[in-house]
Amino acid sequence: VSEMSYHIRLQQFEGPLDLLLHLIEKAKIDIQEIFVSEITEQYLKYLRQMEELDMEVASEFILIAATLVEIKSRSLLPKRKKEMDINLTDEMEDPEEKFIQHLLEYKKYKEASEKFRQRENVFSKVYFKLPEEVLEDDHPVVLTGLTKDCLLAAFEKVLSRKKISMEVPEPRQIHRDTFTTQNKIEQIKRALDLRKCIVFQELFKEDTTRIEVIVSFIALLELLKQNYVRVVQKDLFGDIYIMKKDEYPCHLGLQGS
Amino acid sequence: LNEKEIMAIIEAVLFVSGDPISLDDLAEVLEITDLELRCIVDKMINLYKYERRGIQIVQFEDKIQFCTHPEYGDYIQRLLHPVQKQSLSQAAMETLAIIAYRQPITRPEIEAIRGVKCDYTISLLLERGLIKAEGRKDGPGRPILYVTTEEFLKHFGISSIDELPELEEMDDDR
Repeated sequence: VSEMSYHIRLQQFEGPLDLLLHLIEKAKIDIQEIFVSEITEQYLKYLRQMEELDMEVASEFILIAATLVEIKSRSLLPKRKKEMDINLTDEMEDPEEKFIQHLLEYKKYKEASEKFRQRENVFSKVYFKLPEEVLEDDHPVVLTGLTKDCLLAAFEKVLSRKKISMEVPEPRQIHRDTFTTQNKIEQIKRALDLRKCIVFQELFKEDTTRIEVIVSFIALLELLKQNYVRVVQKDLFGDIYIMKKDEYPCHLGLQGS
Repeated sequence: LNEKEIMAIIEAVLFVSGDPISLDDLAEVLEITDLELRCIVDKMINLYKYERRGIQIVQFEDKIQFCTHPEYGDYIQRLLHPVQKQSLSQAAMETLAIIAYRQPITRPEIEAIRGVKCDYTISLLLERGLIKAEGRKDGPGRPILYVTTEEFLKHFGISSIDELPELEEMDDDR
């Protein structure tokens, strides 16, 4: 069986009990016979397959596996039930019987949920009408049965509605970029062809925009990445000196970056 | 007022209201007894059914409301393209079934029955308004108790929680 089909099969189980019911159904046995059948082995085999496929086996599945193995191993021990019966109280219920009861109870609700599903299918085709707006202006509004949760739910509804309306994009103009990284790179290269060393601030005028400074900086980073330039900064927030990779700024008294 | 007139009034009121109308309020306005009203409402419900009308009267707890008959839903979808109601996941359906039959019930109690964690499923059901928190259970941690809502009844077309589909019987003497 391919890996894919296990994935699909695993997803249809809502938990370990669901898996157990599936195995019982497949083996065509009664739930009461679960511990005299091969179900425990099949269940463990299934978990192993999940592990082989490197899927995370939820702790709930392992818990049920442990319970199954425990009950099964007790049944292998010599029975002392007759003597024990006298001392058996309600709290010391037979674990096997307890487990079967649990499984039966789960099955009961699982089957009920199938009935709910059928009803849901039918009633998804039923439509209700919104109320007419008949409230008079001077009619006092009396609110009853309201809780803080109702208020919160109403507020969240308003918020989510607002979010939807805000998502409608309004037409707006997008301006062509005035400064591009490519142009700035060329500008830096040209400057370095003329002079051995330039200062970062020289790349733009003093009254420039923030965007030009940012684009210049990105261009500088790009040149660094291309290994075209070396960069030296003497102190924190100090001037950034830019030079070609193989230039050494001896006159600045600087060591390499 | 004769019975026919009362039926006509109820019909008109249900049309305008859209929302469920309480039987108590109706009886008061119509100046008839609760029993008389229930009798007439039952007759109306059966009449709509018998004539296979497109509109039916549904009863939720002690309220009545107009809605369409499911048989004609396909035509409504074809002509009006309403938003499809989202159906519940299997996990949500199981959890909801347990809450419906065992309410009021706490999260640990639900988890004990299902054998898996249910916090996400419960928050989903709360969000969809199918269940609500109602009080806390006495005992360690005072866990929240959950019950089903009117929206739950509407979602499944159930008139009251006493009218839930019967559970498959088992020896349950606890």
